[in-house]
Amino acid sequence: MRKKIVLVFLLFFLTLSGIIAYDKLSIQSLASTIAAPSVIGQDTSGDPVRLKIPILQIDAAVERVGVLLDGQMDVPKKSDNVGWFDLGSVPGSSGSAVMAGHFDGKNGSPAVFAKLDELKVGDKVIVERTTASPLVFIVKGTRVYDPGFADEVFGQSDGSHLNLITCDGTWDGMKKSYSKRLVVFTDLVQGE
Amino acid sequence: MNISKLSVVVVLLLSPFLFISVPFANAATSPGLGKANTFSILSSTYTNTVGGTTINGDLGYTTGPATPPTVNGTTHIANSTYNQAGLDQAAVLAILNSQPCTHTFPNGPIDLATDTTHGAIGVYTPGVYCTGAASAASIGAGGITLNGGGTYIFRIDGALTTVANSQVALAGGASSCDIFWTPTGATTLGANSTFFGTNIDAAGITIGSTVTWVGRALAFGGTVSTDTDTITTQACAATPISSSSGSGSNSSRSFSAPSMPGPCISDPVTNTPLIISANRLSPTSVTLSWGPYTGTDTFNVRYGFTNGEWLYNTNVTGFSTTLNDLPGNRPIWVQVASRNNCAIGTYGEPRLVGSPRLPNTGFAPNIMDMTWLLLGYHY
Repeated sequence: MRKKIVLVFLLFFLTLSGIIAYDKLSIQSLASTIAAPSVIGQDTSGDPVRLKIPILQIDAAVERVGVLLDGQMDVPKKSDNVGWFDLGSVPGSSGSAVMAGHFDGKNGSPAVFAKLDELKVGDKVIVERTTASPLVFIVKGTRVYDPGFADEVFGQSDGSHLNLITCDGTWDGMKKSYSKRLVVFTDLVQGE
Repeated sequence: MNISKLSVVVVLLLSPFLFISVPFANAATSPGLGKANTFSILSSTYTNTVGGTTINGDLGYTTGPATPPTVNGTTHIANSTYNQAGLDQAAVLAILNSQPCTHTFPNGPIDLATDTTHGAIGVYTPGVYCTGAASAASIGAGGITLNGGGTYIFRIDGALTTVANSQVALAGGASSCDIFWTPTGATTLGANSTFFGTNIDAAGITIGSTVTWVGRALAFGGTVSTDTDTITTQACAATPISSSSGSGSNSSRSFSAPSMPGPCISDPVTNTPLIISANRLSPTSVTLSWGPYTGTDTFNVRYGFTNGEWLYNTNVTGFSTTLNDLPGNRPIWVQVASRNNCAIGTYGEPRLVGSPRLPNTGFAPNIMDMTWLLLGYHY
């Protein structure tokens, strides 16, 4: 009888370790494959290091992210960080800088952008940079997209913008994705 | 410290100053072309076997083509103007060869489109660019841009080759009147390529099909071949290289050295295009369109992987284009400028094209939550 109990526990832990290994593997398989190369001597003084949204009590570290194998923008590794799309614009420069943050964590707890939908026109978004002075952006609007391409989020060429992205809608278990994407559009009002 | 050690130290300290180069102390100058000035093609044998070639300038030869091209100029067949143009071609070559190199490429074949020894990849500023001994030059698929007003001399100790669809583009006031190519081997331009400048090459000039060339193919003593091409010769600044005596003697010649580009046949480029839409078509191709839709329909589109570092450019007729053979799913930065046969205008605002799909920033409501909770496991 004791042997059976030990065997059951052994099977349980083997199964559990398999699930954890698979989980980690699937995270690894999503690893970013296209990222901006770091260049010796490149001026990084204007690169973003923290994102602050006072009204939502967000104060998050900024990770650099690129593009996944399947052509999707990568996401930050930590659910309380935000990911800056470093193949696009640098915040404060011409064009649209883009940052993504998780909506929830793997344990179901709210992640950094869980309350992004509460932002209103006129709310302040602050980007702290490596050594350059902080930039202040003001929310000008929000829009919900279907998952897929949304060139206007990345490709505006008039002015200096920062666009924030997270998930929205309902969870689709088959696609392992939420049904919508929320984008908050902001304009630079201070800095540079 | 003894004297010899001291001298070594002094030399080392001074060495940065000793090796400061003065390549632009003597800026290159554009010689007048004399009677050769009005010739689009000057050759001993001119070969053209199919219809469709248009020559906007003079044509000169001793042995003519099977199929005559359309010549919007004068055809000189072994007459006195033709002979004088041949003498002037040799004189101009001597003047070009007398100017010191401002940059010498490493020995061996050089692809001007990918070389980085001279400066930014694909971009050349005025100067005298020389290949190493017995070293050919080519222009690869990336093409080159000649940027800035002034004289460009490409002295090639070997053949000059351009690949199909390659582009020589002008920017920042560069003019075909001030661009000179002097290969010692044959010149071969790839099909559907674009080329600017005066090429002096008695070893022969073969122009591939549907090439657009603004300048001159001067191969007096050699053969020029065309194939459904368009060759346009600009009205460059006055060039009295042989006007005084026509004797071919250098002593009797005066050489103009225009510091500004010569007058251009086309109107100035004034439109600054704005990219209106851009979409990814596949992992390796994107499409984009731009306006305004008036003024011109010829443009130069340049792109690269970093804003401001332009690796490639292509000429487009129309208001949209598709860029293929890009690295998989990698966005590119693109700018568009209006252009005509003489120059490229101001590039519009750069835009990121081929952006990624929106990210997936959510996780599933975890069915193992209770298990993790019981085990005290947290991510």
